[in-house]
Amino acid sequence: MADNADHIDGDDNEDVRAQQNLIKIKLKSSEGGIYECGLTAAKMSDLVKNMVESLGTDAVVTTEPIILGNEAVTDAALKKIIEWVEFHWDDPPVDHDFEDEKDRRNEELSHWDKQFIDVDDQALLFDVIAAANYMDIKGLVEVGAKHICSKIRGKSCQEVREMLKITNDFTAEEEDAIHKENAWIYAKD
Amino acid sequence: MKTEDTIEMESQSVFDNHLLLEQIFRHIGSIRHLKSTSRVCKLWHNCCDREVRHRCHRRLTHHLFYCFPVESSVSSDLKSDDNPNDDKPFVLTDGQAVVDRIGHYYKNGLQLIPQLVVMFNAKLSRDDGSYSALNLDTYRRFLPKECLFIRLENQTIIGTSDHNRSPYPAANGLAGISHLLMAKTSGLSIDVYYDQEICQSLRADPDIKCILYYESCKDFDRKDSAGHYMWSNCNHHMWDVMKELKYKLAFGGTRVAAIDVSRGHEPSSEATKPFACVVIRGPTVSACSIEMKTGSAESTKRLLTEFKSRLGFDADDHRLSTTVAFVFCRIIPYRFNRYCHFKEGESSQLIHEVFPNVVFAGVISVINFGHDFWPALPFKSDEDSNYRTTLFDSTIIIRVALEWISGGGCQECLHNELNHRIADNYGLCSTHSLVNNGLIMENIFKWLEISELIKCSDVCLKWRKSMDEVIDSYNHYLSSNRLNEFKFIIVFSKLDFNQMQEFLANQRIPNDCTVVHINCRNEVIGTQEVVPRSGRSVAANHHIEYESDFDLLSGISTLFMSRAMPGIEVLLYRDSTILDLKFDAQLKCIVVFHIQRSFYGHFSRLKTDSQYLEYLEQLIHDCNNNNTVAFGGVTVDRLASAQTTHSDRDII
Repeated sequence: MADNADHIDGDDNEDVRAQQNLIKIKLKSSEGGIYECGLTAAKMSDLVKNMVESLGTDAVVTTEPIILGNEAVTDAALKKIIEWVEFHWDDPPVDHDFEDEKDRRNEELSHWDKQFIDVDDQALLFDVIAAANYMDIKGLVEVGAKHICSKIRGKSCQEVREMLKITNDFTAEEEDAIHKENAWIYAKD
Repeated sequence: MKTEDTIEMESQSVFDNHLLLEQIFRHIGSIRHLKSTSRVCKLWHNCCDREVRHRCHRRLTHHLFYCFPVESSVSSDLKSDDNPNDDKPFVLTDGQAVVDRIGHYYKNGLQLIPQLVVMFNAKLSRDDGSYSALNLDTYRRFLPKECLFIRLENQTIIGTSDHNRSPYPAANGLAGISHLLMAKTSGLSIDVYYDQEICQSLRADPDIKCILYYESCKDFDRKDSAGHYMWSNCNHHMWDVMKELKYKLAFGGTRVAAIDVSRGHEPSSEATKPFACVVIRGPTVSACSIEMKTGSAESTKRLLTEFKSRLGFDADDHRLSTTVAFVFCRIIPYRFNRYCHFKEGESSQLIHEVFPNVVFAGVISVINFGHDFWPALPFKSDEDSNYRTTLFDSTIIIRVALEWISGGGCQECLHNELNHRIADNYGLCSTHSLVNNGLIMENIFKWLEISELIKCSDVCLKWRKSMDEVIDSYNHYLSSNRLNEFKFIIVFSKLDFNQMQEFLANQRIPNDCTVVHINCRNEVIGTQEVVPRSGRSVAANHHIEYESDFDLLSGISTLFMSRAMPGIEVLLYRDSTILDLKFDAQLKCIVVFHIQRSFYGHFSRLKTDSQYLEYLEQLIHDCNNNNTVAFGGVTVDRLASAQTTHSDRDII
């Protein structure tokens, strides 16, 4: 299998990517849990991709698991992340720098992504986003970002602070000044 | 289940991370929502403001154009069609739908902070049921208080927008409304003169790029206390100003049915104005105007093509600038039809053909104003020219460049191959004012990720014109508590940087952040607060200064290595501490900055330097045997010194 992996390394062909995804590599969370993931799926993480390319597929497949040492990569978060990349590994490439900003901004999350990211455990949600950022999985960071956007949409600042456990570090004067400056944005119908 | 404290800590890991916050905020739809979100906390405020600035720099104008039937015949025609509006999404069912659509944009879709809104409307009378579409208060409360709002009423309007890429006249039983928004951004200043006293304050400022002049039929007879027509007073004064400027500005306008001007949230007095003179200034603005006097479509197209080639800027470039046009077409009276070679409003089609990427707003009117101003042609000052042309079409093309492109010499930057390439690669352009040496700029930029580049572009925006401004802007950038976000900062600078040293000394640089500041004319400065390696502390917050006599750089450039890049530890070694540098498996890269010491104009190497060099050479040799360490560096006397091995100072 390892030999086979070497032959197909670097090939972007759809079939080859599918074949490559049959190769399993191991990822180790910061809590010590080890989880298997398809190679193509795992390479959606730029961090993992760089490691695989540096070390060679052989080494990654046959040796120790790849350690993801960031605190956010908990067992639960890593499981969620693997679930996401295993679902999305064959997505067409997306321009994450959105040239056509307005259109991208208006794009809705897919039903699957919505269900995936809408977790009850808020700590897990934050871990998944932070871990995706650490592992440099742009698509998942985007899903998380859009989900957070949808959560804060229509809420007052105080509600956002309470929901996301954010401390208000403005002084009363600063808050007043900002409110005055932005009075026009609070116009009602 | 995790405790509240744990959730709070994990929340911080996301919401204290500016990179993640920027990812989140870029998905927030409208400027209003962003502004509202910015009140959550200071970090969010900074990140939201950056996102707002980023969007405002990308989108400098926006045009909304909608029509609706006001005559039953037109309405039934639309209904009888199977798919009446599929190919005309801008034709809505009635006036209320238009008001709702525009209101929705202001509430939820605003992508810029406007300083001026020009609203043209066609066939909407104050006396009929569509009046709500005209009511300024309907829209103005969603705009910043300092935003100017001009409403121009006419019989026919014409324009293009996101929904109608091809010009479409609101005529023949269709009423129409168009809103052209121009962003509040530095480098673009807009004033509107609309009454006697205000108009007198218009001065011949060489920074004026364009004047748009509108006269009202409704208030045509209004006179001042001396019995002079008000429009005439303005007209003469404006003409004097233009004469003083030797007519070197774009000019155009039209006579409309009625004009309203209001500012901000002031209650609308609904008093119409006899005239409105819109003056556009700014270093980022280029404008030109054309009077289309020729008769046939072919010759007009030839004229427009020639005009386009002599604009002095690229009207099709929407990446580095935004170009809009005001188009004033003439009404062709029936009795003149036989003398005209093309139809009424057809010139707008020709303008669209020649300028397919330019969004435009305008009217079809009886009387238009304009004169020819082609910047790329030698200008003929013609004092007797009569700009009050009544039978010709007139067009003004206004191009607003992104601030950081035009600062200090737009053309130079646009034609700088290297800078252009950087812009192509990264979606933004570094100004030449940052560092004249493009090679070094490129090398710096290629290390940065997009988000870092965008952040740095915020610095670049202000780094222009004078070095004082540069220093101020740079200080401002660093003082906005951004230092905590970085692990390793290299500053290259050229001029005297006492202010910078003082500033850095006062900053709360994180313990594990390394700052290297290289002044290539006079000194090289590095600071590091703590080096925890081997439990040994080296040079806490220590500045290192060496001499060099070479002009390597002519500005400031800064490389910020983000804390978000995982697993990187940066250590600074200097002088004898180089001997502490040992090979180990974790050592991945050695970057050397070497400054030749100068004695009476002759470069030489100190004895101790040679000792360090020998040590370093041996170390690199050992490392290379293990084939694991990247090595590179630069000396100020060799610009292309990536391969240099004679390095003996400041090993990081």
